[in-house]
Amino acid sequence: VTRLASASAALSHQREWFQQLRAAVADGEKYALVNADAPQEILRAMDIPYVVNQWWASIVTAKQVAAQSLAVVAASGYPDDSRQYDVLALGSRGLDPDQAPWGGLPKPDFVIAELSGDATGKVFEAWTDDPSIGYFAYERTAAITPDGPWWELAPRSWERVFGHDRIALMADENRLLIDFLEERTGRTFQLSKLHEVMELINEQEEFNRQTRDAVAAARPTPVRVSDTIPAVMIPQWHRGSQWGRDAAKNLRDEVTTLVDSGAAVVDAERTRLMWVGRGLWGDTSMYQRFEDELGAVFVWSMYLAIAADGYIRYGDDAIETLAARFVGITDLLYAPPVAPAWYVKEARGHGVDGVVHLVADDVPGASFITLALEEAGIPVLEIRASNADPRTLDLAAIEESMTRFIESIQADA
Amino acid sequence: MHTADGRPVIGIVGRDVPALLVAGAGAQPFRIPPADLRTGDTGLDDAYAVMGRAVDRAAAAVLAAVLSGELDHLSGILISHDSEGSLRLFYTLQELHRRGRTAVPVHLVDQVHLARESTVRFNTGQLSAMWDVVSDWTSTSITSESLESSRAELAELRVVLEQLRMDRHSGRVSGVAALRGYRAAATVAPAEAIGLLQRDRHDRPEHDDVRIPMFLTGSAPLGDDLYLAIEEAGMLIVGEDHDWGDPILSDRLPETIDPDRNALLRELALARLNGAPASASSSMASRAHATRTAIVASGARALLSVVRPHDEAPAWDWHHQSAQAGVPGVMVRGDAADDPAQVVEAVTSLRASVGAAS
Repeated sequence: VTRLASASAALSHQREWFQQLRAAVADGEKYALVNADAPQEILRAMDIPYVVNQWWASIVTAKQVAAQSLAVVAASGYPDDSRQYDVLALGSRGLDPDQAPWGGLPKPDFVIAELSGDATGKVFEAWTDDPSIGYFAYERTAAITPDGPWWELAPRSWERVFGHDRIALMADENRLLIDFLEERTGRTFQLSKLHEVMELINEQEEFNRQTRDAVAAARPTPVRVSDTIPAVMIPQWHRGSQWGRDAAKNLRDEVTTLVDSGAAVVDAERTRLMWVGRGLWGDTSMYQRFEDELGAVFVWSMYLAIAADGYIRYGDDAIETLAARFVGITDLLYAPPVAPAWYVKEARGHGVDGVVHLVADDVPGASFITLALEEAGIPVLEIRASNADPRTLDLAAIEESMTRFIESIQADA
Repeated sequence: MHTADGRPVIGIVGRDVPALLVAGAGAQPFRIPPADLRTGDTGLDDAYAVMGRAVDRAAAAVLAAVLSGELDHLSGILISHDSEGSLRLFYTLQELHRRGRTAVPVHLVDQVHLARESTVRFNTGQLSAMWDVVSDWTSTSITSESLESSRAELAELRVVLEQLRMDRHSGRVSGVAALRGYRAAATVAPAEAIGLLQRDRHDRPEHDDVRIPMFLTGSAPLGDDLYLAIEEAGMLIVGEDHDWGDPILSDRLPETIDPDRNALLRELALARLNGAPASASSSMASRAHATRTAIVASGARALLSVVRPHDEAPAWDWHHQSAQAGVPGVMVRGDAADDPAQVVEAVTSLRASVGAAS
């Protein structure tokens, strides 16, 4: 199996898009930096360019300038050991030009975030130390217990998953964001454009659902997680565009073709693994060794699966429907009892033999995810590390513990 | 289990839960003071095993208390969404209760904190849900009469607390005595708390304290030891911005009980939103402004921030707080904040800075 053409195309597109954005900003276009858990669709509908904070953090990390970016944060008077992934973009603005990845992140005109945790709001407020940068915050309300399996209810019966009041609050905030953007850009929001964006997103995520289902059903697995991640996530950062929708369709087509042809990452697949939590995919050689030496392959990461289950919403009121998409999107991944049941569903659906669970500092309820998987009879290896701060990572120790874990699963098989 | 006079007791975590509604439902509000448990304590280790270690020790200490069974007498626990630690505590306790591992039911009072009408509406709805929950837990309807009676008791208590604060500014009350006073007000019945505070007032020294007045920011302390260490090292804590101190008085009580339920709950929601900004739920700018204002009001001549591990927000505040404080300041962070010797060392250096500046 070679790299997916969809992944290569997405990576190529992203470089081209970013250089276009840099050029547009240099020509005076206003653009936004937006956190992944805040709605981006309004920006799309208003043709306001944006960069997703977490995507840029992934570039900073991949280019191995995270430590230098955190040093910039510390030199600014802010902590460099808090919300590291969220703050990498801010720190990267202070990198020397020859260090800055992809030519560097231009200065945003406004930043947008949801107030998750105790410090995300402060991370984004720190951008306004430059008074020319505007800041819009969304409240972060807490998860409620859904009235049934959320992955079945969310597309059309979202109030049973997230509750009326939470959605109403975020819908109000969507309207406030529109006012904020209209005032600062001189552009006019058009509801019909947002409807178009929402329809394109549902099409995109339906393709992702088909891709996920094809991967889940295939034995042996036809694609590497490290390949599907860029092929899914880069189009996710372009949700609501025709390119994003078409990229998801191309991925679906490519994966189903591979399944039909009997392609395999590992011919003698012995152990199917699930990766829960943020990725440690910067260096894929470790995973290659698991494949080559142990016949073990990761068949699941949250990136494709949450795209498949988490984003589809069908509704008549685009502002409210958008709120229903975002109001609990992070809870679906982390908060009990919402998240654990979903991981069990996905683990069973993909027929995994074991789970590696990266437990980050800033997520709630990790122990209940592990517990639910173990109660379902699925072995779990917990790894405690930050994927943003290379100073805390001991990849050799992680590889050793994962090797022992895989060997123990194979011994019990 | 009930109080001596037969009332049920409802636990509270955080400052965002209005005690008035709890008392109005016929229950004794008991704000749970987190114990100063340290790594190696079995209960704390058990709590970390469930919550993970990357959480403020205050939240883990409350979980440890629940797991130990020492809070089983509570009819329920109302938890604020005032910090990530409190939210994780809620998710954890909700899940443990659902699994039958703990006896006490929990409810999240999800008041959020932006100064917007949409937030006020949401928070009002949250308080309405809380109203129904506490009525259910106590099997007692909340009425205008019960609320007025509770309001009058709480108002009387606040008069005594205001006096405590004024005596503190004049140097007649130590920081640790004030801390204990606020804690009493949040954990025992108003009449009992008033009795304790008035008894303490008789014991106050005739002469003003000569120690250097200092304002404390950062994490809310666990127990009295931090205050004792600072004050024994030669500074007097004349004010603080954590939620077990002066900010309690910034959340105004209604002057009358509006008979319209929604109007009353809206007033309570606004009272909290207009109260002193807490670190985990406020902007750095508002915190810096509030710190400067409180320093001026209290006559503090120094600023000390003590920030526990995994209490993220106060460390972010420090950059602007210290720049705008107008007095010398020091921050002690992370493991050092849990080490009394290092806190004392910081106080000593702060005293030297104040001396040099005067």
